[in-house]
Amino acid sequence: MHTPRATDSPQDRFQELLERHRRIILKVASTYCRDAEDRRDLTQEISVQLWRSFPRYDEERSFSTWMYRIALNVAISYARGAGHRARHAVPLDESADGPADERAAVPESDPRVQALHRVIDQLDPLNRALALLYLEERSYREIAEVLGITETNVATKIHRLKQRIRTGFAAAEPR
Amino acid sequence: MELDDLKTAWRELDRKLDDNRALNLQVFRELKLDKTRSALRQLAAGPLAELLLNGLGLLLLGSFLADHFETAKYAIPALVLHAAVLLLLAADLRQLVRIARIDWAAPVVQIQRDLAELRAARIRTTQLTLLFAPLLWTPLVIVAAKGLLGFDLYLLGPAYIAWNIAFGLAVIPLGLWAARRLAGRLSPNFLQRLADDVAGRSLATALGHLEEIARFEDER
Repeated sequence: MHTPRATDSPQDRFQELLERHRRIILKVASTYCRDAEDRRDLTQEISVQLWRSFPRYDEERSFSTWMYRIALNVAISYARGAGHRARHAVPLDESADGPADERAAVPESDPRVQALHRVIDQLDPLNRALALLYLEERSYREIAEVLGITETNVATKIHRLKQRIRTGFAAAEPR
Repeated sequence: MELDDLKTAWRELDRKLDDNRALNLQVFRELKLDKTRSALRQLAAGPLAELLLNGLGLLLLGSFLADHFETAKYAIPALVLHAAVLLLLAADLRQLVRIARIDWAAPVVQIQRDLAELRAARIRTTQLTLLFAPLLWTPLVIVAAKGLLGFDLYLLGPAYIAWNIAFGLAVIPLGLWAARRLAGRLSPNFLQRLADDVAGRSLATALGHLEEIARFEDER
């Protein structure tokens, strides 16, 4: 929950909250966009939508939940949007940050990160959102609140996701 | 490799985000919160442009009808066109209201369903408009010839009118056939979108998204 100072303008408060939670935006953007330029565009798109929705934000409620909802809604719509974006929307097979040319020169060397990329690449946009929230170690309750499904459904889906990941890893292991 | 390793990998990505703190801060510093060219804002651009165009059409037809209301041979085709434009105008208005009601802070499944339904509705409207537009060809040429040139098309004889109707009817299956052949093959985006809309390809994609959402909501 955010406690505003009396002297803060809405934009100051928003910028402060954005800075404090920017990691959420960056994680969401890197989960849905492969291309560095698209990722940057999506980061901006999410931030602009957050700012537009900010006047309706209820400060009694969790800022991160509110932010996750908007960021994921914008990211899924963005990834499903224009054709050029769809071509790049196979996320996370590069590092989540850094300039594109730099990434191209230094391919991801960590096999665990490579495996993570493979797993996320195979998921549809909604399950990708679920995986992101699970990996961010959000509670089932918060995941349910962000996605708009029941906690029981979250538990079932995470159980399936874990099975799918295990199967995927087992198939990828060298014999 | 186990799930714990996956979480470790996720934390590794987190660490990299921190390493690039300066770069990330730059992204936010350059952020223009009041930027007008937002891709999401463009959701309303299409229906808004159509609304204006259809509004203009309605005004012109209204004026034509007022002048020729007592002459059935002009009033009937104008009324047919008027009804078609009114239907389109209502569809545009409905879409704009739905777009304005989108609350991006609502739960993900709900908003994605709303967006997919909105997209399906829009594609159906485009599909129906393009498919049935040739049927309106005959009333349109009668009204346009009289309204713009002061020419009575009926003077060309019933055969001419019959040929126009036949042409309109023939264009429908021809257009459908061409759209199916061209869907997925055109390069300019808007032409590609039109061909995909008429061929039902875009609708299938939108319905696919709706099915995906329904599966996601399914508790089994």
